[in-house]
Amino acid sequence: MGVFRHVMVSTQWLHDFCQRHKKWLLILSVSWLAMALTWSVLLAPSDYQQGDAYRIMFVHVPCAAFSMFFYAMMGACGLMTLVWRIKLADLWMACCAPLGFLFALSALVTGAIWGQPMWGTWWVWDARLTSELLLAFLYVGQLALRAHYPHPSAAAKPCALLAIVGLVDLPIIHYSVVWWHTLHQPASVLAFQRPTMPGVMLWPLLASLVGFAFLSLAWLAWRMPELIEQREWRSQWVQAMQGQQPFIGDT
Amino acid sequence: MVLHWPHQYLAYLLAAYGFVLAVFLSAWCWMRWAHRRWREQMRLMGRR
Repeated sequence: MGVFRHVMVSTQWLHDFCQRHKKWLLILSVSWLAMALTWSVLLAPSDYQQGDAYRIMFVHVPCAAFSMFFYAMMGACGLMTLVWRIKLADLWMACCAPLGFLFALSALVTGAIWGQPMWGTWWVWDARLTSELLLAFLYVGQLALRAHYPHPSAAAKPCALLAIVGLVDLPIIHYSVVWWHTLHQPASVLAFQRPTMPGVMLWPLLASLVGFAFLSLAWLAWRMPELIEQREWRSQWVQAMQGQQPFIGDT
Repeated sequence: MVLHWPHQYLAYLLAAYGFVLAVFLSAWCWMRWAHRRWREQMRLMGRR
């Protein structure tokens, strides 16, 4: 509970914490991703049907998974913004939106690049693909809505509402391959029974997932202090940190 | 090494990895640039 209170309440503590850890997080994420992708491209065996094209999975699956994860996180933060009016929850939402959009866009594009050699088409209006496209549009809506308001705190409530309403898309994305007959394959990693993938392919995929998780943490650790500075620029501690004199009239 | 060079699917693989790398790198650079611009604007507003 103590850590939660710091991460969600104390802007100065979170700012200092991110500043302290952001560099090693970036180094860790880049080296981990380099290791995981080298493993997946050079050491994992080729698929007997898809050949080397299946290796797109090692970036496609993490991007799709994190696009959903960050939307869920935004929804949870939206709820905290509306119910408890926690200022940092809104900042977390603002921090996650561009990152989630990058993951959704990457998932869609890498999926299309994978679909062309395997399905013979870049795109179909399949339930999984369409619901993921909707998720990308929800992220765009979130970014546009936030940019629309000149004062960031005014955007908190509408952005929180949009994030919560958009949560309905997440189960649709996940269960689309179960509810409808789709060209997209059913879940093979997060299947409730054992994963349907052999270990020699599953382990590099998990390593890649961990690498993208570190990359996301590094992104958040770099972006969050900047957002805090922009939101709290009238605070004395931000002005003192930037070596600036406080405004006349500021207390 | 398991990957066979050259391979008919290699272009797709490189395109997918290259796209993700390019997207994340450009977004990262944009993020740095945007914050620097904001700091510069704050400085120009006469906060010193």
